[in-house]
Amino acid sequence: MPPPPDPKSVFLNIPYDKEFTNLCVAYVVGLCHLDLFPHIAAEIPGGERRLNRIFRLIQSCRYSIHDLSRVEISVSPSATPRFNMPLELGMTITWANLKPSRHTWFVWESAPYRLQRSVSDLNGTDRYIHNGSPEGVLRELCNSFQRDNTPTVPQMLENYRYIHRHLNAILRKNGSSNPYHRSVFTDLCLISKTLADLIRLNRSVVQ
Amino acid sequence: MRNSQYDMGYKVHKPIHITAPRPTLEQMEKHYRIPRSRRKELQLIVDQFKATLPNWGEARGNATELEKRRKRASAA
Repeated sequence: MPPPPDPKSVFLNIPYDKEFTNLCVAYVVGLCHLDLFPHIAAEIPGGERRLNRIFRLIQSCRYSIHDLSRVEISVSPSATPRFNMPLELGMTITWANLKPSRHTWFVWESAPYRLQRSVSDLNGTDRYIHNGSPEGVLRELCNSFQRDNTPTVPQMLENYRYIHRHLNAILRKNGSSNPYHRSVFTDLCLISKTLADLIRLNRSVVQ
Repeated sequence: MRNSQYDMGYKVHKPIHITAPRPTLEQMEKHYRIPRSRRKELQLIVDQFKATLPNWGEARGNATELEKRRKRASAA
């Protein structure tokens, strides 16, 4: 039996592609502003079989967000559908059904009816629609989680824009061009949390 | 019977209220195993952000003043 999950950890089941960078940053900013710890599969070190590592990460997180907005056929000549996200969602659903008190999962989409067409078995499941925008991601995060004294969605959005403006500097500091690398991801978490704390401090002292 | 909200393809339940204690920056660093030196390397970005905060200087002044008052009160 794995140890109990961390009540602040959230597993992000997202695509690791360039087009998704904006939304990934929005997820990190939003979750850190809610004082939660986002996690992605890319941050766990190698060695063991990838699927086992992902499953252990899911088990160690109290919550998971499965963004299926980019489950689509790739534009490459082979035109292959992307199945990683639904696969990890399936693993999570099994785990949550076995241990309902240990895990809660959320399904996110970009458009209201897409999920009904792509995974009709999930009909009747709450879905969170972010419309493919960072603002939508932040709004839906606040619809999924709430915590006292959390910055508002416009404040989060401002911080998201600030961090996004500095993304290239963060990538350079890590000698990387990939925002999903572990070091870049943890830097994003650290900066997001720092800015969230500053906003909270500024607000409480000025009031 | 189908739920009309599902028919619209959109349904949101009440949000989950997070009651876990708010982590500190140090706890976050420990959680992600981020070396302490990393914070210094990212300090410039944080400092530039502070400058954009309205009333930041005032807030810091107030914070210092509050801290002084607290110290005086505790000393007395």
